[in-house]
Amino acid sequence: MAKSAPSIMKCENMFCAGCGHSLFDRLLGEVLTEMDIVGESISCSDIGCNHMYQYSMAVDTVVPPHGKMGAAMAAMKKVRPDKYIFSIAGDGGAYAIGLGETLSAATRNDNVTFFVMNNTVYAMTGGQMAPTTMPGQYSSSSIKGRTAEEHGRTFDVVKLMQNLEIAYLARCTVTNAAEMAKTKRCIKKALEKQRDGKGFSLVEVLVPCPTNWGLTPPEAMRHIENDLVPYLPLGEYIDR
Amino acid sequence: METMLLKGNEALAEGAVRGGCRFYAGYPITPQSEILEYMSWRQNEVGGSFIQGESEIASVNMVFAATALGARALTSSSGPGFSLKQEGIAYWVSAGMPAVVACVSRYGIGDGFIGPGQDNYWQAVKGGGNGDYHLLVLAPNSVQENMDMAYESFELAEKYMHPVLILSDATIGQMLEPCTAPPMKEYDKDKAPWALKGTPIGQKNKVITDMTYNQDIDEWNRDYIRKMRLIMETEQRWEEISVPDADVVFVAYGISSRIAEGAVRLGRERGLKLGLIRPITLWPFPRKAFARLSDSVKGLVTVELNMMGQMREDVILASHWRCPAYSVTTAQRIPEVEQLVCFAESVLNGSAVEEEVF
Amino acid sequence: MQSETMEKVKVNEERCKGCYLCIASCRKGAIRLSGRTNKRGIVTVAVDQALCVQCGVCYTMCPDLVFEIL
Repeated sequence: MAKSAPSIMKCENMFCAGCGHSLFDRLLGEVLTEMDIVGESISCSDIGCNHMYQYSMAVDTVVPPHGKMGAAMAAMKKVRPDKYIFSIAGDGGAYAIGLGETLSAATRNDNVTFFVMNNTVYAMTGGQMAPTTMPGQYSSSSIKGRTAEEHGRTFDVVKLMQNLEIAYLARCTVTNAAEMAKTKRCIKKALEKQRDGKGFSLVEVLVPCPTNWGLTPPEAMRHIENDLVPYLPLGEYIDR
Repeated sequence: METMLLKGNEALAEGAVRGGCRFYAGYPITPQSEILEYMSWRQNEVGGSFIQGESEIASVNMVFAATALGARALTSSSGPGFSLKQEGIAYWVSAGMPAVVACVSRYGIGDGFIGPGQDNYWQAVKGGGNGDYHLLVLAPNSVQENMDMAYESFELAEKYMHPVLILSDATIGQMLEPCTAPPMKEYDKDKAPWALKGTPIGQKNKVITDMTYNQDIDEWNRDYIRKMRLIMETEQRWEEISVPDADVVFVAYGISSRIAEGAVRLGRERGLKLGLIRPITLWPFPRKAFARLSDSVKGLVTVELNMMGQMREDVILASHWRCPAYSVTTAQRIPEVEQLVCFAESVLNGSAVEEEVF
Repeated sequence: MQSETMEKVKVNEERCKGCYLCIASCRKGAIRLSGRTNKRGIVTVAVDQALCVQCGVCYTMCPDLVFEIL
């Protein structure tokens, strides 16, 4: 079957070799194109590596301050309720500096969609520890490995949000073609929840950061499968 | 035109609504909460949107996003809440978003008090957030002006694609005065040239961003400084009372200017030639008013609700030290007319002292 | 009947950043290093058109839109 880049992807992306963001972005581009909602979509960018989607994907975009997507999207949906409003966020933006805004959007059940790229580090600034950094993981601000005693426990969005009255919560990854297909279904489902007015949807995507993990891209994929997924299980947790 | 009896804060909200404001986000803080409360029902009446944000930070960014999508949007705060908004406002400036913020000043450092203050002057006119900017700052001194300035603020912001700050204060916000409401302005958010509406495949998408490093920064800088200079040149506004023959000229804005106006009147009754320059725009500071001052002026006296005499700095810059500049600073207390007249007398008899803390 | 040497996958070598996720994920072992260097200075990949079954995994796993399945 013929397969080529969706027409919404306008140029080469700026991500590092083997970056998971670019894999996700293409999947989202495919979904937007297949649902024929590119012209009905307005995205809200985080600041961090994830924001570079705006240079390769032809979709209208607002870039609020780092992490404030939950607040910005609430306003965007109020001003243009007929549009699809979604954010491609990073784990630092959505879960650390912007956790208040993310959680407020979820508790209000705003009819918007969050795609959170979880690569367990602050990638753009050089791989510092994030709330999502795994136990034992080395980062440039946890040079002997993260420990619960010294740095606190690792953040898990499912534990945080599973009892909220939101429309959709899923965790997926991009490590192989089968997972990519599942991720694509989750993206579509999240946007369909918004279309149907069901409310807040969040899809967390475990993505590799070979650059900051110090691994080759295939090794980074194996790291997700072997070390992240057992701790942060994949699946759909809320679907209503 | 209809006459209404409103609190200053309500007048500000109603003025904004009549000026086309169809989005409001804010967080409660005394003494500006009436703006939030008024908007919570008023936006429904006019088909707009209201969000009570989870914080000042969320609210300021809601306004950023609403403006990016074409709406005329307002947020408001006071004291520490206004400080929290500074990051967001800097992003408005960088992205060139014509959003409007109202600060109903309260006195104090940090949490401070809930009463009126003018110790926000530096924060309001010298930038406030990081980077090279001033906001266009309007300083109302009556309930009517609260309404009128909110009414025109969106068009002013859109004229320059630059945010406007309405620097009101707790006294003006809380006092009740009759005012005349202007007619409702028609505004279509879909006609806003910058508005994001979604771009179909094959057309050039729009990005509203605060990030300048992926644009031609030299070109951006050039356009930006040209805009700031144009505002500086064209938007200076002030009111003069009895200035041409004055020996001592008060300089005061907001609530202090009303006391100073009373002092001019009382002083004149006692044979003292007093005058008042009331800056209406605090940035751009009305330097032109000082360029035309006569050489006979023996002293300029700012009247401010702070301790350091913050505006005195701008008065000195505007007057080039042509005459001594003094400050009557009353911190959290509203000055008294008699106090100002006595100070003017001390300027005239040479006993006043120039003190500076900046 | 398709010829075994017919072009089944188009490779846009200039886009390649050298992550080689395609090589790691191709079940047929049809992708290998091309030996050529693109403008980025990256040694690019080439598809053995005879081995390729057009499953599309290389397209799916390439972050940089190098592959087009014809």
